[in-house]
Amino acid sequence: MVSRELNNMIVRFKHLYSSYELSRALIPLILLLIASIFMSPQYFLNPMNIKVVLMQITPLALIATGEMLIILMGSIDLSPGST
Amino acid sequence: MIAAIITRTTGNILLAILVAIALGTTIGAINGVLVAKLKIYSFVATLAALVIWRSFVIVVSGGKLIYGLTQYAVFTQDFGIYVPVGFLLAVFIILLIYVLLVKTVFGRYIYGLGSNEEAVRLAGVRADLAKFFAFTIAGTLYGLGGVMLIAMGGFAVDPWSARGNELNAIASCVLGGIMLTGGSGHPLGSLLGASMLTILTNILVLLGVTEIAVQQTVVGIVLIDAATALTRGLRYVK
Repeated sequence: MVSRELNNMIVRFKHLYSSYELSRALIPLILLLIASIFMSPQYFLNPMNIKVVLMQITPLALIATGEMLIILMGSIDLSPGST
Repeated sequence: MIAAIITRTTGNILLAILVAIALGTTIGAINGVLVAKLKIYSFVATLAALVIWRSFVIVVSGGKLIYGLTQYAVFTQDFGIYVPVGFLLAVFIILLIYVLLVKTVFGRYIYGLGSNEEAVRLAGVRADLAKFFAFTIAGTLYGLGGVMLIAMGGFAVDPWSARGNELNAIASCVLGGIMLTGGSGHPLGSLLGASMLTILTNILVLLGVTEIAVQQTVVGIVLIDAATALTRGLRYVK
């Protein structure tokens, strides 16, 4: 009986994971965040570190968004590095 | 990079940012013409662009490091608690792209071109025009990314800065759940993928793994995992 409920839960989780495209990225990100916080809470949650991480994300996120527009069309773009 | 030179020579940060964005847009537009009108494979066309514009930057800068660009500190000031202004700006722009992709006809065309280009063309859509505009918008975003790179990277640029960033961008797209065959993926996936890549490197540094080889290996293994999870259930991949 317990295993059946567990099975049901796994099926529901798989459905959630594959039905929303956003969750394909969101669930690993949340898991990674939790793992990072457990691994070194005193450094990772340091305000300075949070700011540094946010600062490092900014350029990469902008370039990746541009790249995403191209990849969604099925093409690929190698020029962002030099521009 | 060009923004840095103009800031150094004229001391006007606004002009420099505008020129950087305009140059990015121009490069994107040239890429778009090459791919849509001359029918070059996008891989080859942008490979040429990568080499040409890198050498252009080296010639213009004379191969020297440019430093002391403290005016760009505007982007790293705190807004509220520990959130840099530049990050908020980036999130705002990414939300604009989200609206563009999800709520407008143009965005639907892009998804359609990714999943079945022949069908989109047969439906009478001006596909070349859509391709051109997609490359142009991407170029604008690269220009903005370059400006942010100066602000976040310690106010200095060398001619080889952001080398290998194109591969980082593709890696964050894969981590964000966007299929490389096109037509599938959430518009916010790139932001989440970029966050994942950065946090992964950050936590490795915090754990004391400072050798670059080990870091890159771990990132590569995570990338393989993500790609495997992404194509689970498909019969084959091109």
